[in-house]
Amino acid sequence: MDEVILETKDLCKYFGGIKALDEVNIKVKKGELLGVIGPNGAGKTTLFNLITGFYKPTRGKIIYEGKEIQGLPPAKIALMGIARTFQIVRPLKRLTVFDNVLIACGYRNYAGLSFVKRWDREEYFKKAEKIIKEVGLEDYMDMPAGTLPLGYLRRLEIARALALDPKIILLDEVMSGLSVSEIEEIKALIRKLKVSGLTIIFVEHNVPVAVELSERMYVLNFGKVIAEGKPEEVIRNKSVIEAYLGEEYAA
Amino acid sequence: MVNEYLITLLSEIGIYAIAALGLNITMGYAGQVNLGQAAFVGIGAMTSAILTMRLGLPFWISFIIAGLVSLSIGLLLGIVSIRLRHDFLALTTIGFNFIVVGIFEYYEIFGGTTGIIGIPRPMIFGYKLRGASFAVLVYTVLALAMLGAWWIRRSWIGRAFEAIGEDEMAAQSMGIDVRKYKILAFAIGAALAGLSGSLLAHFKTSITYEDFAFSKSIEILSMSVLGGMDSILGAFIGSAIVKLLPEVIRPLMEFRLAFYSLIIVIVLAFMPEGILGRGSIIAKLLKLERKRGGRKWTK
Repeated sequence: MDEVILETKDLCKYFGGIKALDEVNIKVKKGELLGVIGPNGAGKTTLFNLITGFYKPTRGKIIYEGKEIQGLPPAKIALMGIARTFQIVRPLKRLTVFDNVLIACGYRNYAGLSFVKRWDREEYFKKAEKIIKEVGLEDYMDMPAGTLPLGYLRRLEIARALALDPKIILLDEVMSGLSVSEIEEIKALIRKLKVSGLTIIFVEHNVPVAVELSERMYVLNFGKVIAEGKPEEVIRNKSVIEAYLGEEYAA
Repeated sequence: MVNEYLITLLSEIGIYAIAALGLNITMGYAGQVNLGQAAFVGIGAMTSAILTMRLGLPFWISFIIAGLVSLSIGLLLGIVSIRLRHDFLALTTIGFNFIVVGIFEYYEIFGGTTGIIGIPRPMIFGYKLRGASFAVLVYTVLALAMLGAWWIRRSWIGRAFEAIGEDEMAAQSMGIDVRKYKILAFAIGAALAGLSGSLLAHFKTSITYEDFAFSKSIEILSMSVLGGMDSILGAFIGSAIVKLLPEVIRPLMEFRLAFYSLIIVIVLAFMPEGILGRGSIIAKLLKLERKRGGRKWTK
């Protein structure tokens, strides 16, 4: 259970003079449910964008299953088994929920000239339908994604990520902007995914939710890891309280 | 005489429908702005004219090469487009159109200011294709192009196109190599324009640089937009209406460019789906509104 699946080594990302991420070292164990928290601008989303290839690191390494993946294009990283959702949802608006998921299900067919091969319609359709049911969107399958409310779009993004048959899934603030009952639904969904053996890393703004959900946590502040460990220990950590509330509360 | 006139018009509609279909693939499917489609028509036309007249190649071979040359230049423009966002891409493709036309005008091999005259008609088994037989050729090519476009739409290329047209980052997160599919979208659109240009050259038998000016790109765009940019049949419907209206309402002839621009503005403002595009009223009435994954077809 302690096998490391993903690791960053001295990972840095600078935007001009701003150190969005500075010498970050994290380890992700296979099958764990890992939370990443931190105040605004701590570098959480930057970390996700680096791991998924949307940013190229200024320095440092990202090692996934023993291979260095830093700087690879996002599509390639997605195909290697690291799937993600976006904090600001990115549905293919004019397409139906079904087609959004189907496009992700077809991930094997986009490389090289593999798109000319014959494919089994039934097999892909079944898979897309199964995943849509898994995230609970089966009643909205044929609706254009652009017409759905935020909570459903978040689930759609999780569905698209799952369609890639990933080994790791990165959830970027999947609960922000949702109602209490929607948050409960997403939490239940994440727990279900965890049981299926998937490695899950999630960035979360809402500390109580993150504490409740995660098995282990990293806390980022100003681009650095300031704490790591079991959630209940991490939130008692002095520098974490400082980061969130200011020095006067730390005592 | 009336018949001949109609057949000429019909051929022209078909030829332009092929170019508009190409634009639908680049712009309608894959969301890559191209305001210089006429340049690719011109590249195909000039290639075909020069190959048949200077090298004495038969039409059929020149026709294929014209498509390939346009395709290659489309690839190059596609490679440039990778770095550009929508508005800059629009400017780049307009600029590309002007450069190509400038080259046609400047160099003698492209006929310079007088153009190329006396382009031979296609021959088949010693029979010269003209009038009705040429129209048959045009519509055969159009039918094949539509079939190809239909295949693309149903294949994973079509899905990749749709994804990058909607949201490039989302597409990447689903394992789609955005660069590759952008280039491919340009190449396919350009190839169809090139084939259309070859047909145009051998149909008109004389061409000048002016036949491929930016205003022609706008004309093709108005066809595409009117018919519905993501529709296959729409390219033909759009071409037919844009070509026929000025014939019926003669005064429009004087204001053609204004007429094309007006079509684009009105359609985009009031029915952005065009006549046959996804979500348009007619598509719904005719039940063309398929579920995009084709779920309906299999059940």
